[in-house]
Amino acid sequence: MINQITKIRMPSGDEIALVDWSARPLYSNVDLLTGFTDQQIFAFNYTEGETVSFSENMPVASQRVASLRDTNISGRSEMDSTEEYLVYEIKVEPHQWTRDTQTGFFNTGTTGGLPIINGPNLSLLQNRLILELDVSQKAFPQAGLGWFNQGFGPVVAVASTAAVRTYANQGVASHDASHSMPIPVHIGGTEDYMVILTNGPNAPGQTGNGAVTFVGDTASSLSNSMIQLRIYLCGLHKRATA
Amino acid sequence: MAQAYKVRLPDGRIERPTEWSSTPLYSTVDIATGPLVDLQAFSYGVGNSVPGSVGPRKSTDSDTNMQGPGSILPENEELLLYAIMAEFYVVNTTGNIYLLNNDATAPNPPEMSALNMARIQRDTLLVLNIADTKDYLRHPVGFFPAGMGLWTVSGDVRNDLGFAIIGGQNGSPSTYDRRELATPHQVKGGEAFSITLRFPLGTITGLDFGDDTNARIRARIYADGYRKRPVA
Repeated sequence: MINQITKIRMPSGDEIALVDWSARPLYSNVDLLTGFTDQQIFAFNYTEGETVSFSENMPVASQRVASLRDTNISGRSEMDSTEEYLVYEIKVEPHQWTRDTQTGFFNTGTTGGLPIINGPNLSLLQNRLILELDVSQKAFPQAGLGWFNQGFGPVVAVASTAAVRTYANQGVASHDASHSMPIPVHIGGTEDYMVILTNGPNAPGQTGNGAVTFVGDTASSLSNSMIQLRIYLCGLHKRATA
Repeated sequence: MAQAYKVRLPDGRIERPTEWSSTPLYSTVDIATGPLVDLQAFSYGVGNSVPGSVGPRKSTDSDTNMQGPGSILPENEELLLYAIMAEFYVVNTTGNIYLLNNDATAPNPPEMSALNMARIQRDTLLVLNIADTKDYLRHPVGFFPAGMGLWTVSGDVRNDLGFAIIGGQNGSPSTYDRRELATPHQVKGGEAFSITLRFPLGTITGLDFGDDTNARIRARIYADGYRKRPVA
């Protein structure tokens, strides 16, 4: 392993840090299986090669090993000591999958239009889930899931013979449509950070978290449906150059 | 543990280690059918009763992030309010999937129908009051678009009555389309403030959930802008 040169001390005693700032989003996936009752689900708590964050009702066979498709962070729940981040935007990208009960893997199954999420399920998640970014155990942006517009995604045009379903996006699929914070959230080197999804009440009089059950557009329950939320922290990322 | 929010320097000056951030406050109220009274958001903290709810129910993090007893901003905080946004959902009792009375094109809850959304926009005012003295804003709720929500297209989806579903939201689901106030409203630490949904007609005409008398329209209201909080 080669040492990383991150600072140079000049003869005068001045120190120069060999870093650069770049606009590089960080992202992390969470897998939510239909019927989950977790009160809190965490993102940015695993790295590539570890287990993707999942709801507690996820069978062992369906608990996935993370790849670059799931996350690009270098340290779980903590900013690397040589790095720093200014978070200007948080975006949520939802996808809907079907779980194969034989293999435990997720695919598009027989539901036309997957992995584009349908309207009822996205509305359900926007109603039930609160997303917050915790830095050093302090909540910064904390709002309903819908607050965090995706700002990109498929722009769907439906033909008359299209599958009988809705195709939903987390807000308008335009970069202009995502929420940019005028005051960024700073995550310093070695500082703890995490994104937390909190599950709220279900029926009108219910207190405490209830089961979140995914449905089709005709209200039929989808027994093996999984929704994946890829959560992005967008902003300026400081990293060592060497 | 004590919170250090003031430091006295040797020369006598007092510094307050605070920080400003873009962290919205939000609060939920539940709207029923039939006779309605004012529903005051931001009038409760986490763990207190949600106005208009069945029971009433105790609030959780999904209802509000208001700390303390509610109706008042904590002494060590401050808010410069630039935008108010209101999003709406239908919450029904299990077993009643479609709430189709007076609303034949209703989609599956919690998605709002266009018809009920229009009824709410027609009959509901949103009122911002600061320091119990003055209504700084008092406008129909449609004036405060959500700026978030679903952006959908659909195939030939029909409900149980055979009608094509027509969903509706409080304005465009784009942050760009929320209404930003040209001049912010300041709420100082320790100052009372509330955002109230008011129903001048005493009801929302035409809103009808049939047999599901426990169904509600859940309104989550955001107060967004710059928020000052202590760092320690």
